[in-house]
Amino acid sequence: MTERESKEFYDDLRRKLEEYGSPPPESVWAGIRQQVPNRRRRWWRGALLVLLLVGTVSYLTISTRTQRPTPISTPAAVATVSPGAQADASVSSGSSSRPQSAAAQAPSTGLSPNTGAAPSLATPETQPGTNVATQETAPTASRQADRGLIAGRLTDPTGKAPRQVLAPDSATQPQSEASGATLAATSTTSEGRKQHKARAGVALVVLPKQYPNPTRRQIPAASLETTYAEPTNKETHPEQEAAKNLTAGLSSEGAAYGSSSLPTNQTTLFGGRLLPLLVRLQLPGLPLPRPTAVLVPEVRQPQPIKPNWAIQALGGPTVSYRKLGANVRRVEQLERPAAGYGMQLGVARTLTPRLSLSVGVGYTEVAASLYLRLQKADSVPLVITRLRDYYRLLTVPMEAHYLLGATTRWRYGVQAGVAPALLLSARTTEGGACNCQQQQWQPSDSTRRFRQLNLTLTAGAFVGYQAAPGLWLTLRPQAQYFLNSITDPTSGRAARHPWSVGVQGGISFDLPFKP
Amino acid sequence: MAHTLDAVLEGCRRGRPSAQRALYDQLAYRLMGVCLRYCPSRAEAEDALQLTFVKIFTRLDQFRGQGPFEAWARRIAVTTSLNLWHQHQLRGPQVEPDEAAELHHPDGTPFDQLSADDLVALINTLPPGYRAVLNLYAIEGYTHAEIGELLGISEGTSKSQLSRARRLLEDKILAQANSSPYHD
Repeated sequence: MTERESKEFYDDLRRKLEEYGSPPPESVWAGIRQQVPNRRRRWWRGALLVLLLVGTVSYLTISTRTQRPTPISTPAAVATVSPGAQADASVSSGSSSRPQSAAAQAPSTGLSPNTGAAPSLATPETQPGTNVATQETAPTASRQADRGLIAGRLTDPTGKAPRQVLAPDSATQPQSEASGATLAATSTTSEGRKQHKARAGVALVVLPKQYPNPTRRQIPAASLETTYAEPTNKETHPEQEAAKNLTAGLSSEGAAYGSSSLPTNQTTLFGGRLLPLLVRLQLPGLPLPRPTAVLVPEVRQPQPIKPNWAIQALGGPTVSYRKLGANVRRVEQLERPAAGYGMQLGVARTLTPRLSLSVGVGYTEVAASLYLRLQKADSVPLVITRLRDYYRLLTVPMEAHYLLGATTRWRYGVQAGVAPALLLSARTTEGGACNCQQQQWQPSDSTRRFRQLNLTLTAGAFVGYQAAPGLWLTLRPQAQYFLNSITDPTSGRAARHPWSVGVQGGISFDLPFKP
Repeated sequence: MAHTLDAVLEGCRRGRPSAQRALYDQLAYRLMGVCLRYCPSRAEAEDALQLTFVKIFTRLDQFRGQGPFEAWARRIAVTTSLNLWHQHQLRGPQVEPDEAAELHHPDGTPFDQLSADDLVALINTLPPGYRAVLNLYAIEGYTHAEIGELLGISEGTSKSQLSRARRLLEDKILAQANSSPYHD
């Protein structure tokens, strides 16, 4: 046959079979549907993401409310200021919650709105029933006028005002008695108002360095509370008068403000909510000394939240493999470890300072890889195939966490637990007619190739870093092992116990403590 | 039509079962014919067709639109069928090429007296290696170099097997034509 004849033969053959076909049976389509993953079933990933987002926002909202400094008001200060001074007393009053009513309760202070500092030093009459903080003051008003430099800034009613300290060289000044003006500003918290119980604030007065015998007095908090605890006490002490004077002075023009916080242990005297204050007044005619040092450099740390419940979200990669039983097929022996992943969302309950339990919902994938080179007898490679078998499971991890050590920022420990695991889908080479074609398995399949309900054991360690109060960044190196064979024993397949090792990272929120 | 196919493909990329079914209805008939030409039995051809569509649906992102989609799908069907054929070879006995080489080959190509089904049936009686080379070269239009790469053989082997396949097929066609009741 010539080349042309051959070409004609092939052309005839191509033309004859060009449109050749045959209707496939419907079972082919059923098999295709069984093997093609349905992407629509991945809606839960978005739902999980939304859930995480909602949980985070909820926690941050709760956390912010818990962490926010309680608003402080100074009813005594308001009480000692004439109503006309309200506009100028927005800082000194420290509260806008009920300024009018407070002023109405104590309208008579002998101060005018624009009297400056000098009038504030005049001893006003103390109104019966007025809530006034008690403190030691300078013996005379004139000495206060000479030396008075009251540092401090009262917080605004919402407690949002930045707190800072302007205390001239006061950190190194020894405390002495009665030479400087010391002020206690009374305060109330919103909580205290609800309880109809007054709370007291603390203020410090610091004298400038250039004045002799400077004094910085800190008011004993207990005495303040005592005074406030008995608002009907009509006895007026000199300290109370001085306090009112200085408080009134805060409302006058020309007052300079600074503020600070006291150590936490002092605030606990006032229910753990009071923010101590520093008040500084600039008296007319006196140069304002430049601050040279910070009186209380300590930054107020938020109260650590005592953990009780915590929400945690974790996820990370794993390396997974399997332990096979008897009757292992050759293709199963060729499997190699493969990358998988796992994630979980749960809650943890602290039982003891060291022990906590957690439960949640997780999703994990364990996998194995196959690298096949199908060869003919003459060792010529025909097909090189890379396959990845996987098992995807919905888990309910239940774990116990034991804390081995902790600092303010760090904590670490060990963990162990079990997790019932529901097999959602699998893609394996087990069911293929030639052992090199993958097949998809889903719970709806009639073939009983796998156990749908499994039990896994997890163990590992954890280390956490507190990035913000109550917010922990967590790393968990852990291992997981299937206690039962994931293959159905009636399928005739070798027992298969997948296992994995990996590191999960995530975040954990300590919820506010509720006893 | 092209717009319709694009819509169907987009739906398949999104994993919509209705689009997958539409694409299946559009291609299954002819792809089944491809699989029947390469697979030793109809059952295996159905398996090959099933795997072909699984690959099409799961690897649709690899189709860049640089040619007709059906050509891309046919290529998948061919390679899938050949893979199954290789696996069939590994599992069971097969006709050795040397045995088939002993057959003589008459001249002539009386295609007109045969239906497509008969012709495919005759092709399927060829030794698997011959059949594959003949299908790849004559029907699919592969070159000998591509055939050699696809089947793991040399170009010379491809050419010789093609020549033998053609002669064997001509013999069978001639014999079929002679045994036909309509042959005068």
